[in-house]
Order: sequence, then C-alpha cells, then structure tokens
Amino acid sequence: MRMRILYSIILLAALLLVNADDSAIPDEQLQQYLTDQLAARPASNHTNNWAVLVSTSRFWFNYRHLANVLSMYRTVKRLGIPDSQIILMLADDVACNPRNAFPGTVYNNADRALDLYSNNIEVDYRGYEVTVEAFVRVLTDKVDPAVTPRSKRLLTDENSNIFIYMTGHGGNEFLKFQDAEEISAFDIADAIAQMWETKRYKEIFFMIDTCQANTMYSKFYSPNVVAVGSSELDESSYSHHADSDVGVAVIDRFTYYNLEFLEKVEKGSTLTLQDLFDSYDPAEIHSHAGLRSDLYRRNLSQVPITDFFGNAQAIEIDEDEEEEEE
Amino acid sequence: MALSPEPAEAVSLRRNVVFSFWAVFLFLGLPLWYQTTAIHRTPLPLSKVPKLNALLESGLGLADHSLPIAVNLDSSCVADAGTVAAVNERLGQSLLKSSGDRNPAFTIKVRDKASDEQAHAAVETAYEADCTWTKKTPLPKTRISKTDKISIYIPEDGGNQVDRIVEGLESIFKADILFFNRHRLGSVEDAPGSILVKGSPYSEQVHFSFTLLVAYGQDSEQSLASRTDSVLDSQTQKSWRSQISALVSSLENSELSRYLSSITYDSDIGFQYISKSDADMLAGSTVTADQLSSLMDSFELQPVTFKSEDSAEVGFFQFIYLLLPDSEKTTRSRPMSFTIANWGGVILSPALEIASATKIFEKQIDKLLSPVSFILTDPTTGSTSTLRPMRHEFARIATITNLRAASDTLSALSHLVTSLKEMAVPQTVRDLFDSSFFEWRESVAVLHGRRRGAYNKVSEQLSLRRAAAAARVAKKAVFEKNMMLNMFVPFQHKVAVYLPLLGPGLVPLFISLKRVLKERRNQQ
Repeated sequence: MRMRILYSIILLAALLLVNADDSAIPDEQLQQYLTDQLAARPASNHTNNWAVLVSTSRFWFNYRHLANVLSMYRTVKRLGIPDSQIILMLADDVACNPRNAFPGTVYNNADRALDLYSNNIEVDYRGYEVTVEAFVRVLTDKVDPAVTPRSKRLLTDENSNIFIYMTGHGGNEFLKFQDAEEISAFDIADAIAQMWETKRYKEIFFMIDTCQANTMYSKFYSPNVVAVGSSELDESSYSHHADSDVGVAVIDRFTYYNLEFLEKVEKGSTLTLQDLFDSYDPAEIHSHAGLRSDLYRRNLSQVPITDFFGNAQAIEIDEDEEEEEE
Repeated sequence: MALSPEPAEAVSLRRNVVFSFWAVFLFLGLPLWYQTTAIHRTPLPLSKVPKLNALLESGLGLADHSLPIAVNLDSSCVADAGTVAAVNERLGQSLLKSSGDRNPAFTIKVRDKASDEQAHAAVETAYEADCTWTKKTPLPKTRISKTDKISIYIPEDGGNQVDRIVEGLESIFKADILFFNRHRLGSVEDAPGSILVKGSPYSEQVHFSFTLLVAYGQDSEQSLASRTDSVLDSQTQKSWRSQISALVSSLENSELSRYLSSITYDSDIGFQYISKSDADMLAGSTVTADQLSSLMDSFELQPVTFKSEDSAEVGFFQFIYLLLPDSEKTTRSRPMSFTIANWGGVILSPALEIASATKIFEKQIDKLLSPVSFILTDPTTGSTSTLRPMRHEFARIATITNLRAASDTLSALSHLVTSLKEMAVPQTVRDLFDSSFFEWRESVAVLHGRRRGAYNKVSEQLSLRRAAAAARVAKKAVFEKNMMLNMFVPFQHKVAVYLPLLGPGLVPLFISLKRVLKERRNQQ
C-alpha cells in the first residue's frame, strides 16, 4: 500500500514537472515587451535588404523544394536584391542528379519555360553544409570571420529588412534538415531574438512552406517580425503539379501561388503585404495559409511588398564632405 | 518440496552487489550524467554593466563646455519679479531633473557663434515638440535667424517636451548634451562710459547653458591658482594658461575677490566663476568695466604671440568673462578688446589689428564646438547654403560614442545571457567581457586625466583608442562563435528522451533494492 502511494506521488511529480515548462508568453506581457523594445530603438527607415533562402531537403524526389527556393531566389534578384545580399542554402543539387532528364537545369513548371538553375546563381551553402547549426550561425553571425568568407555571412545591421524563406519537410514545431536533424520553432525564435538584441535587423518577413508550417512561427517573440506559413497544425502542404518528363513534382502549391502574385510585382510597385496575404486562397493552396502579425506594429496594408522583396530603401547621407573627399 | 534456506553468504553477497550498483549509480553515474549534459556557462560580472551607463550618464569627472545657446525665461509671460523668481525656480528644477514637468514658457536665443541654420533648427525642434511660439507663421516657411528672439510656450499638458527639445538640440549640434548647468547671471545695464554688472539672485534672465561633454579634465571647486601641473601640451596654450593663472591669482587678491568663491578651469579658452553668495549679489554691488580694465592693465602681462594665417604676428591676452553684457552682442569694453558673453574675450597688447586676433579666437571656439557642415535648402526660396566644413576635432565625441556603443553591446550580452538559459557561455566570452570592461574604464580614466596627471591631445587620442577597443572587444564577445544557443530541448523532451533510456535500467535496480530491504526487515 505504501509503495503504491509512493509510486503515485512520483508519477504526480513527474506530470507536474512535465507541465511546468510552458514557454508560451502571455499576450499582454509580450505586447508590453515589444513596446519597450521598440521604444528603446530610434525610429528609422530600412536602408538595405537581405534574403535568406533555405531548402532543407535532400534526395531527388524532393526536387520541388529546390525549385521553390530557386524561384524565390529569382524573384528577389529580379526585384533588386543583389547576390551579395542573398544567402542561398541548398541541401541537394538536383540539377546534377543522374536522374535528371534535363541535366544542369531546374524547372518550376511543367512547361519548362524558365530554367531556374542557369549560370547566374550563387549558392552560398550547398549539400552537407546546410545544417541547423549553419543556419543558426548565419542568422546570428556566430561565425569565425577568419575562415568564413563575407559572401557566406549575413552582414546585416539595425536598418536591414530581411526576407527569410524556408522549405522542406516538417511537422509540429519542427523542420527537417537533410533527413538527419531538425530545427525547432524554439530554435528559430531564439535565433531571431539574438538578432534583435545584437541589432541585426529592422524588420523580418518570415515565410515557410512545409507541412504544419504555421507552428514554426508560433514561438516567435521578437519585435518587427511578420510571418506566414503554408499550413495549419495537423495539416499537410501539397505540391502543385508534376512534370512527367522530370518524373517528380516540380513546385509546391503555397510557393506557386505566392510566385503567381509576386510575378505581378515590379520595382516601383505599390502592392502591399496585405495584398499578398489577401491573395491566399485555401481552395487553391489545399491548406490554410497562416499569418502572424502581432509582433509587427506597421499596418500591413501600408507596407510595400518591395520593402522585403525589393531593394527600395531610404538613403543615408553622409554629411562629412571632407571625409568623402579623402 | 520446501526450498532449503539460502546460505547467509549468498544473501550477503547479493546485498553487496545491489549496494555496489546503487553506489556506482548514485556517486559516479549521476554526477557524470550531470556534468556531461549541463550547459557550460561561465559566470559573467553582469552587475557591472548598468554601472557603466550610470557612470557615463552622470558625466563624473568629465569637464563641460557651454554651447553658445541659452534658454532664457521669457519675462513677458509673468507679471512681477516674485512670479519670475518662482517660475525660474520651477523651470530650473524641471530642466535639471529633465522630468518633463509643466513649464510656462522659455525663450530660445541662439548666440553669435551658432549659425542661422542652427538657430532655425533649434526653434524648429521646439516647434515639433508641440510647443507654440511667438511668431504666428508656421515653420518652416519662416526662417529663423540667430538674431531672432523666439519665445517657446510649452502647453499645459506638455509631457516630455523638454527632453525632446534637448534631444533635438543634441542632433542639431551633433553633441552629447548630458546635463545642464544653471548659471545665475547678473542683469546688464548700460551706463555712460561703463558697463554695470548688477547682481540679483533672480534676475530677469536666468541662463541655462547646455553643456557639451568634452575630453578635458575638470578641477571643479579648485582654485586655478593652486594648480601647478601643466594641462595643455601646446606651448602656446601653456603660455596662455600661465598668464590666465596670473590674472586669476591677481583677481583673487583684489577687491573683486568678494565676488569669487571659486574659479573653474573648463577649457583652454576660458574660465567660469561662481558667485560667492546670493547675499553678496543681493547687496547690489557693482563692478565697472573700467575698474576691471585698470586692474588688468596693472598686471603687466606679456602678450602671447601668434602667427596668423596672413603671417602677421599678433598678441593678446585671454580675458575671463566677469563682465556679462548682452549675450547676443559682442561688446567692446575697450577700443582694442572684445568680450564674448560666456566665452571670455581678448585684449590686445600692443594694439594690433583686432581682426587677426578675432580670427584665431573664433578658431579656438570653432575647434571646441566642432561645428558640423551640411547643406541646407531653404524651402521658401529653394536656395541652398553650406555651413563651414567639419573640424577634425571629433575625438572626444567619438570617444563618448564608442563608450556608449560598448556599454550598449555589453548590455545586449547581459540580456542575452540572462534571458536564454540554454546559451553556452565559454570562458573566452568572459575574457572578452573583462577586456572590454578594462578598456572602458581605462578610457574613462584617461578622460579624467588621472593617468598622467593631465589631459592633452595625446591622451585624447589614447582615450579614443581605448574606447574604440572597448567597443570592438564587446562586439567580439557578443558574436563569439562558441557562445551558441544549445539546440532547444524543453523539459518535456528531456523526460521523453531520458525516461525510455534510463527507465529499463532502473527497474532491476529498484526491484533488487526492494528485495534486499525486505530480507533485512525479515532478519530483524
């Protein structure tokens, strides 16, 4: 009898301990935190744009994830972000896969009108370099400057707007990297918190296309972050269509419809983030795309989409004429 | 068939085996598990970080120079002297505390050495802080010149306008305005042949001089005459100082000494004086300019010789500002001399071309104030005007900027380490932290002039280098590559992982322990 009581106590204590660690921050507390943080920083416009584009999947049948990322890569480059300000992480090289019927190419549509893997791409992290650690180090700049070239570093400052795009296979609060490890929603949230603390961004637009994608941004708690995901908790993300000659699906639905919208955006476009989010149709995407904007204090209908996808920016004028001459 | 009782040796052996397993589990396994799974976090002296900012903000030991801006009470908004006094006191207190209390009004007057553009910008700053002003035309259509006297009225429900105005002024003058000094100055009346300085504790004009943090040692409350160390490295400036010391020393021994309680050396171009007491000032004693002039004539000081840009040699003395004429004007109390309110003046001896001396004197002031250069466009006419180019005297401001950057970075590090419990903190971070802290303190120590007993251009550069090193090392610490956040493993996950791993191993341990205990109880 006494042993039974003892076991019950141990079980109860274990349950209590398991439930004790609830990391969700109450909304009021979070909003107060955001207000304090934003008040401590001077208000200014962003002066430079960066993009971090990550495909975390390996293997030939994940062709579409590579195509997703390369499509986004093409879009941000088209709208003005230079290669030097894009960190491109590709976990596999399907273009050179022996199964590729069109060697050296990657297409995102069965019509194969546009080769995304032309000779004008710069991959910063490829193959087994694409790890959770490498991704977190890129975001937080915890790298050894002596051995890491500048082209592989996210050299942002407190006036940088960053577009982060991730795609791969994921689940509730995690995203697989390389079929070997996974990054959790907490990892990304804490990495962004470190970025904020070390003044490495002004605003972040986080986009993720994976199963249960909306759970990946649920743990964010840093200011000036707006996030979208392709699917809700317990909901899968689906591919759009397959190319019978390539033999696999070539693009995911969420990314496909994002691109469909982004193709309409030009450098001087007045389209806003709200316009993009309004364009999401669950019937087409086959999942419920999510939006998290409680960390973002600007009115989304007044934020030009080129604030993240383009390179339109305020200019800092150096008043020191003498120094310029020198 | 009943089993024969187990031999006592076997029971004893089993007991020893069980206890041995438990001993290994408790004394070796658990500590080893704890050591190998714990995140290494070197303790950082984080409590030091807030003190840096406090030290920086307090400006301890850092000398101050008055910017040529005065915020004066506008006497037109109050009825009588008693009200003026009360308002002065309240305004002064609120300004000193920067508390943003309601203030009835104040006037921004920009003095001679500021530009029209700076004057306009200063008023615009107040205007943008939701203050009303005497001119009805909205800014920026009206251009403010430095000769305009603009009264700014802070609304009754005004919040932090004072702070905002000060911040605006900081940005206009590219300076760190850390605190105010409140000076009570005598009102000035013109009399034939002389300038009267009449003291009053609450005169119509109460000057609040904003102070600019600069890298010169301050010896407040210390008579200059008692100083023996050399402060300035330049031979010329040394010469200046020796003459000024002699002048001040003479003044202290003269009948004027009753007005002087201490003289503060605050720059290479001037002194401040602090009145002995309000009672003396209330007595209404007056000092005439002629009295002062005759006093100075009696000193028989040798003039300093300078080579001006046109190669003409000029000589002059520096003149402390005991006389305070109209702050907007350059007043000539003698044919070959001039004074600048709050900045002292120059007396030429022998009589040379005053323009050359004025030019050098202006250079000194410009050097001190480090005026910025920028192009301004007049919105009404579209014409542009360029201010003078920036002087290469930003060392002190850069030092302060670096010190602030270093303390900000260390604050960020402190916040990261305390908020992210899973963050590893290697020893290298501690070393970098200590190094940055050391450089920070060294820079401030040099600023204080304690290191070499003096502060000069060399130590100014040294201080700047130290401050830059502090900022650089602090940044290195916060971006230390080994200070990584361990992949997040919440407690639920730890239980989920370790329970299946350790659980099966624990079952035989518990069962055997239970049996051994039962046997022991039966034996008893």
